[in-house]
Amino acid sequence: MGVLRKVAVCLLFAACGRSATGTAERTRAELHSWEATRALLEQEAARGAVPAVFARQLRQAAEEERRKAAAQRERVSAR
Amino acid sequence: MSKLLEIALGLVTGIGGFLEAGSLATSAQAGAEFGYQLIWAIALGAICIAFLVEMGGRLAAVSHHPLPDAMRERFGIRFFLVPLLAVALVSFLVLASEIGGVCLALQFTTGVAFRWWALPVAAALWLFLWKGTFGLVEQGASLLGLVTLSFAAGALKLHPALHQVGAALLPSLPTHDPAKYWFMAVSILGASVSPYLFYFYSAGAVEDEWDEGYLGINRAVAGLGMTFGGAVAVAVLVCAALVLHPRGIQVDRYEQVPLILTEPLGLWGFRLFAASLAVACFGAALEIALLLAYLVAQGFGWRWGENVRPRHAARFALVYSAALLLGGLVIVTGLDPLKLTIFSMALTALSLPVTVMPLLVLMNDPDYLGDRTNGWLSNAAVLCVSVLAAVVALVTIPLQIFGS
Repeated sequence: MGVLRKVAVCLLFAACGRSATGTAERTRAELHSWEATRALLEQEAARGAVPAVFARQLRQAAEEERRKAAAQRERVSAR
Repeated sequence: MSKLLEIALGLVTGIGGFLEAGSLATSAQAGAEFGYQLIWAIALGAICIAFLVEMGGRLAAVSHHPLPDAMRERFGIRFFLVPLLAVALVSFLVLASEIGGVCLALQFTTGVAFRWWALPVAAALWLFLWKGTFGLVEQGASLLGLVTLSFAAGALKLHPALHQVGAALLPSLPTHDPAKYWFMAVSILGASVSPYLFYFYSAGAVEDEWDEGYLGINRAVAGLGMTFGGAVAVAVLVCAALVLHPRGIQVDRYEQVPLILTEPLGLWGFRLFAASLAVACFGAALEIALLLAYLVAQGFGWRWGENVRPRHAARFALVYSAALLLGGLVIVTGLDPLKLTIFSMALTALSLPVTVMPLLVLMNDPDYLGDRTNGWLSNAAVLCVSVLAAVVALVTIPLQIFGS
C-alpha cells in the first residue's frame, strides 16, 4: 500500500501545481495541436487522402476548438 | 479438426471483438500524447482480460452456471445487486459510447451530424438482436471486425522502431503531465478489462452448451484471442504515436483520429478507419446490449437466450430493447462521444473490484469448480490489476474533472 499512497500523493501534488501557469501551458499546447491538425489535414486533402465531406467537418472542428483555446488564453493572460 | 476450427473462430472473435470505441479512443489519445510510452497499459489490460475471459468460460463449462446466476446463488440477492448495478451502469455508459462511435463513423462519411444517426442506429441494433441468433451476433460481428486489422497494416507501413515498441511494454514514469498520464493509463485498463467482455463470453459459453471438453479451447481462445486483440490496440497507439505525436497533435475530438490511417494508407485509410469504427462499435454495442439482458434475466431467474424467440423470453428482449433506446437517447442529447467514451472507461476501471471480486470468489469455490479452481497466478494477476486500476482511477478522475 506504501507505493499506492506515494502515487496518490504525487498525483495530488501534480493537480495542485495546475495553477495559472499550468492552464496557460495547456492552452498553448491545445492551440498548437489544432494548428498542427489543420496543417496535417490540408496536407492530406491536397493529396486526396480525405474526402471533401470529412475535410469540411475537421476544418470546422479545428476552427471551433482553436477559437475556444484562444479565448481561454485571453482569459488567463488577463488574470 | 473441429477443435482447430473452434479455436480459429475464437481467435477471430478475439481480434474482431477487442477493438471498440473505448480501446480505439484511449489508444489513439495515449499514442498522440505520450508516444509509445503507454503500450504497457494495453499489455497489462490484455493479460488481465485474458485471465478473466478464461475464468468466465471455465465457470460456464464446469458448473454450467451463467455468471450472474452463480453470483446470486452464491452470495444472495442483496449482495448480488451491488455488482449487478455496477456492471449495468458502466456497461450502459459503454453502450452509449459504442452507439456514438457508429454514429460518428456515419457522420464522417455523410456529413450528417452524429446525433441524427443515434435512433436509426439503435433501431438497426435492435432489429439485429430481435431477428438474429447468438452465432450471428458473436461470429458475424467479429468476422466483419477483422477490418480493424487495417490498423496493423497502417502501423507496419509507418515502419515503427520495434525495439522502442518492445521497450514500452515495461511501465515507465511520465515525462510530462503525470495526472493525464495516469488517467490515460486507467482509461486504457478500463477499455481493455471491460466487464462486458467476460460476462458476455461466459453467457455465450452457456448458450453454446460448453462442457469440460471445451476447457482446452477456452484457454487457447482466451490467451491467443486477447493477445491478438491487444496487438490491434497497440497498432492504433503506434499509428497515433508516429502520425500525431511528432506534430504535437493531441486528440481532443474524434474527428482528428482518422488522420492516423490516412497518412500511411491514403484515401483507403480513411475508408478503412470509418468502416473499422462503425463495425467495431456496432459489434460491441450488440454484445453489450445482450450482456445487459443476460445480466438481468440470469440474475433474476427469468427465461433468457438470444436463440430463443423474443415472444418466449419477453423480459429478456425487453431489457436489451430498453437499453438500446436509452443508449440512443443519450447520444441524441449531443453529448461529446469522445469525452463520454473516455470517462466511461475510467469509471469501468474504478468499478473493477466490485465487478471482478465476486467472480474471483466463485472461481475459488470447489462447489462450483470442483478441482478446476483458480491457481495463485490468475488470482494474483487479476486482483493486482483490478485494485491498482481502481485506486489510480479514484485519484485521477477528480483531477481530470476539476483540472480541465
